[in-house]
Amino acid sequence: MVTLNVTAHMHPKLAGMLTDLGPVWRRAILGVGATGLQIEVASHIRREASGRHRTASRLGARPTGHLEKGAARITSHATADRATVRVPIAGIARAFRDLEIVPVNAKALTIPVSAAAYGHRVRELARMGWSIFRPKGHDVLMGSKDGSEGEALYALKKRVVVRQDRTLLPSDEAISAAINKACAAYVKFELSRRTA
Amino acid sequence: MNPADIIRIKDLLPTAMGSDELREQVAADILRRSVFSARMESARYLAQMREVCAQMMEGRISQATARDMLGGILERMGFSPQDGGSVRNPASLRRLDLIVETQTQMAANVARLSEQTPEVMEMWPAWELTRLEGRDLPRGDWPQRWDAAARSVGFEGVSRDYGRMVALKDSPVWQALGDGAGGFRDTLGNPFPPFAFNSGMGWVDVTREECEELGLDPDGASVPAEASLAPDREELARAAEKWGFDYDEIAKGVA
Repeated sequence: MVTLNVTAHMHPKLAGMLTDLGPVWRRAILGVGATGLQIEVASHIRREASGRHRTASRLGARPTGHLEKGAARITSHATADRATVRVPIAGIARAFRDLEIVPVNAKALTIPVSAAAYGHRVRELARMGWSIFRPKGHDVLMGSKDGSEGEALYALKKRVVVRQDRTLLPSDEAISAAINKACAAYVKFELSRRTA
Repeated sequence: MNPADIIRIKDLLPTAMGSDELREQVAADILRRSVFSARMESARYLAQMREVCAQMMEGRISQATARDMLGGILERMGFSPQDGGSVRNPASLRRLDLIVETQTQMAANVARLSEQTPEVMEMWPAWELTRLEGRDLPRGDWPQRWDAAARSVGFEGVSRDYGRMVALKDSPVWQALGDGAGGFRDTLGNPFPPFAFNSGMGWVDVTREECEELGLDPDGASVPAEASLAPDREELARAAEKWGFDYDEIAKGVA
């Protein structure tokens, strides 16, 4: 998960205005900024998700919808002093840095190499009736089900580095524009009501 | 409150009832506040389900890991995915996906509802119901559901643009949709997504300008603030003047 900080991307003039405003206005403006950012991030991830089925396609597997489902679960929160947008997608932090993944409570990572394994943990496949075994001397897990010929299900790795991919989330410029456009539109709207 | 907390404060509701009985015999607001699963009487399993869904909403685990964790407990309870792939089998992939997706969708949308301040409602007064998640067999009857729900509330706050499903955020159409107006029996009784079991339909905010184009009255959606809390616009005007507020300059963002 990543948490995006709305105030960190605010235009200096808006940030300055916030210092002069009471908590009700601050909460109002920050809430609008957070919602504007939430909308931008969700729509960006949905667009990205539609073109990111390379591994599933290569394996002939059904996409898991990992990004698409995460985009539908993005939320925002604002107080008078802070506003954030939470993106609850496992691994989304690689938008900002390389992620090194190492096994936890296991000897190796299991990387799916077949359609049957894609989107499933090893234990889940075993519960589904797969006989899973590791051929001696090979860093791979094979499996068979219902008497079928064995097939390679997972590659075993000691460590995987997933390279940074900044395009998973909107650029800093797009984040800033979404926040500031929403806040500025709201302030303009309120000011127009004052003079109306 | 964040979505993980929303899940963690839910009560456990062990039950021997099926989904139809639950809907008929247990009030929707109790179901909304509870973690339950049709014909699941193990409180221990429900507690684990609650924690797994909360961890998903924290982005700490993926859906595959969540399903695996729940499957492990079910295996120890004697359930197996090999007992059948239908949602009636607690250990089937379909059932496990349905549980975690429904719980996390609900929590995210409750959290979104709690952030609907009067100011947010002013800028985005309506929601559009649209497909956010793909399904193998998507329901094709959403226009009919929408039409039945809209008619049941006399189109109050509902756009009559028949190509889209848009309504003000405080329109009663959302509850009608969740209640299955028109005789739909697979709904969850909630005024927020998911409106029906295993639905991939969700909300997208609609701007004030778009509402006006769709024939909706955005001012009708305002949530009145308490008078004692209503801030003085002069305060905003003074700050705007002091800091040289300029919409065109600020709206571009920070380079």
